[in-house]
Amino acid sequence: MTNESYENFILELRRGVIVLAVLSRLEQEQYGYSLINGLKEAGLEIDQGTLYPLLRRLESQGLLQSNWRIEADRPRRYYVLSEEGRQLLPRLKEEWTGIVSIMNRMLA
Amino acid sequence: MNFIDRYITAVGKHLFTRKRSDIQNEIRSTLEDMLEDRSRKEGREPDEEMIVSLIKEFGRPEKVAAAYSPDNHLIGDQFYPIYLLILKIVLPVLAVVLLITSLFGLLVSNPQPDEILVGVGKMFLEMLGAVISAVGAITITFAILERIPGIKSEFTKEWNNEDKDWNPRHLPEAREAERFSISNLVFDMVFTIALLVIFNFVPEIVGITSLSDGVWTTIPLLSDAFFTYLPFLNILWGLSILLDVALLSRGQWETWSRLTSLLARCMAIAMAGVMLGGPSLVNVPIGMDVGSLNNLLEVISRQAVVVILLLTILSNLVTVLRLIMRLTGRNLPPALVKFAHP
Repeated sequence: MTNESYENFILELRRGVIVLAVLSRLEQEQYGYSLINGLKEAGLEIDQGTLYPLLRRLESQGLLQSNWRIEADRPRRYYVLSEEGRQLLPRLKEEWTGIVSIMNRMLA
Repeated sequence: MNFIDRYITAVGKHLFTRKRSDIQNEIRSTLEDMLEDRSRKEGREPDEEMIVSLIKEFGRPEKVAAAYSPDNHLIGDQFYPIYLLILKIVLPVLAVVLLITSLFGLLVSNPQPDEILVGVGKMFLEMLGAVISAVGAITITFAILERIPGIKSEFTKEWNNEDKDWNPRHLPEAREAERFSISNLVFDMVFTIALLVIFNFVPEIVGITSLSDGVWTTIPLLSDAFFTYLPFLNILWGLSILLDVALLSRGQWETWSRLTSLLARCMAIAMAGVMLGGPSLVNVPIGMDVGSLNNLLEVISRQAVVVILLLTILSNLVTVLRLIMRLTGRNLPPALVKFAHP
């Protein structure tokens, strides 16, 4: 298998995880760059080209809300879970736990 | 203007959304955060080199902008299969029809030998132009349909699993043997239409073409006897075209279409029998060496009818066998499948 197709498999695997990771991090308000750093510290690296469009998509779906604020002389856009996002997150977490246990059994 | 400004402007040029300035502001804010972070880590003030390398890591403006408009296919997944199907039907038909009409045009204009090459070249250029225009027109139509809100969901409602009315029990019964190749069918149709056109409108081109004194002349070969059979042949060809159209719209063979095809082929067998027993289908034009040529043409035309007759009988037998198999729920042996296509 070529390196490229291996990377495509990894990307595909991560794609589904990223939404849940981002939503779980936005229970507290954060701006984009702090979110990238937080995810990186937690072990999940996402580049800006993936994260920012995703944040906008989640916002247009009503799961996030955002506002611009000036902080340290710089305008920053802060994102946080909307009411709908807060209701969805526990259900997604539950689903995720189910998937993980199924896959663990399957791969054991 | 510094590099960050230049970069943000370049990204903006590729953003086709009402939120362009909002996205630009956010990218700027992120770049400044990253720059501050990097300056702290490297323990030095940001300089041009640091900014340029940061922007390079961020990515090409086109790529960054494209990430904000993920649904940018000209024709999306839902329409693509119908788009391909229409191209597969329209393009071969268009090419063959153009080829036939251009060849007729070329032949009836009685060209000089040196004009033939130019005529053929022109014909292919015209065909290429027509095919490109057709592809363009079909593509533009689908690209517009893709972008009209509501149309896509209406068109693709049947395929969406969300459609509650959809029931797998309503799927037509289909086995390997019931399917057919669309390209074969389309070729069949175009060929039959060509036969209809040639024998009814320009029968004089079926003949011996010769070049004398730089002028092409064609001497018709078909006899009067042939033209007495023509109305019956027309009915057969018309039936064949109607059957092909019906098959194309139904998508598979069914009992009724097999029966119709069987009937048409029985008619063809009867016609072939009558033609074999009747007077010659060809006649040798006045002024040519009658003896050997006449015999040769006679033998060739009669043998062609015999071959067609035998193939049709074989194909009919296979269809009857297939109908019986279908009723008893068994599949046809693969060796016979190739004879079954009428």
